[in-house]
Amino acid sequence: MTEQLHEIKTLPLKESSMRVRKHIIRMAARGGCYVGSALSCADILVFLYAGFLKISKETFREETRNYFFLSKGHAVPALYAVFAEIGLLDPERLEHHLGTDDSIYWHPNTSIPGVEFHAGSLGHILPVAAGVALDCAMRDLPNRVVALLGDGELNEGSVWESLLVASARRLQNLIIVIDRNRFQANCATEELIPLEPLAEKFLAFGAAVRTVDGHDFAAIEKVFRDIPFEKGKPNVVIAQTVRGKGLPELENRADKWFCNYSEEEAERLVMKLRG
Amino acid sequence: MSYEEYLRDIVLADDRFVVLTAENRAAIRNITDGLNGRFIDVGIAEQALIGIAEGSH
Repeated sequence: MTEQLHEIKTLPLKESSMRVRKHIIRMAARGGCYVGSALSCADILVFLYAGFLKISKETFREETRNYFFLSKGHAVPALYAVFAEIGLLDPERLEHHLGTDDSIYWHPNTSIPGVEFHAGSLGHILPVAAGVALDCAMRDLPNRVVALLGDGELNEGSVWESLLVASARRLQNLIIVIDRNRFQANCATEELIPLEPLAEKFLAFGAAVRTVDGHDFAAIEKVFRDIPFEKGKPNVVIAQTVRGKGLPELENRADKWFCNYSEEEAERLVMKLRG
Repeated sequence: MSYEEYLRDIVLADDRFVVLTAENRAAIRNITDGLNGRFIDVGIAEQALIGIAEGSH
C-alpha cells in the first residue's frame, strides 16, 4: 500500500487520473452511478490527494492533515477511486458498489476511512467546512479546509449564508472549489438558474477568486500554490470542467449524469478512455 | 440563575464549548463579556449555523 502512495506522487498525475476514470466507469455498471459528475471532478481530486491535502493511508487521521469535504456527494466514485489510488481503500471493494454487503454507496459516508463527513443533500457541506475552518482559526491551527462543490448546488441558500460568515470571520484557511461543469442533473445550469457572472458573485461575497482549467494539473498546481490568494479572505477556485471528461461520447451531455451500464458496455467505454 | 449566566458557566467550565447564535441575542446579550472569544454570531443565517456548529465542535 505504501508503494501505491509512492507511485501517485512520482508518476505523472495523468496516469493516476486514467486509473481513477477506469474505476468510475466500472462503478457505473452493476446499478450505475453519477458518472458524468464524477468524471468532471476526477482530476481535481487526483491533484488534491496527490499531495496538497497531506493525506495518506498513514496520515488520514493525523491532526496535521488538511480536511477535504466532497459536497457534491453523488460524485463519490471519483473520491473512492482516489482512495484506492492512495491505498486507503481496497479497490476490490469498488466491485461491491451498491451491494448490501458493503457501505460503498451512491454518496459518501463516514464508515469509509478517509471520508470526513457524509454528504449528498446539496448545500449542507460548505457550512460544515466553514465550521471546521473556523475551529482551526480559533485554535490558531495551520490546517486548511477544502470543500468541493458542484455548480448546480450553488442554487442553495446555505452556500451563500456560510460564505458570508466565512468572509466575516476572515477564513483564509477555507478553500472552496467549484466543479464548474455547467450542468445540474439533466439541465444546463445557464438554462435553468443562470450563475454567470459567477466569479463576480463570489467577489461580491468577500472571497478571493481564481478561475482555472480543472483538467490541467500544472495550472491547478499553480493556483493552489498561491493560497491564500488574499489575506483574510476565503479562497474560491472556479474549476472549469467538462462533464463526462475523458469519454467523448459522454462529454457535455445533459442526459449523461446518471448512467447504468452492463459490464460489457462499461468495459467497451474503458477502452475508449482518453487522457 | 438566568439562562445567560447558566450558559456562561458551561462555557467557562469546559473550553470545548463555544456559544453560537444566529443573531438571537435577546436572552444572551451580555454573554460575550468574559468568554475569551468563544462566542460566534453568524448573523441571520440559521442554515449555516447548524453546519458550522457541526464543523466546529
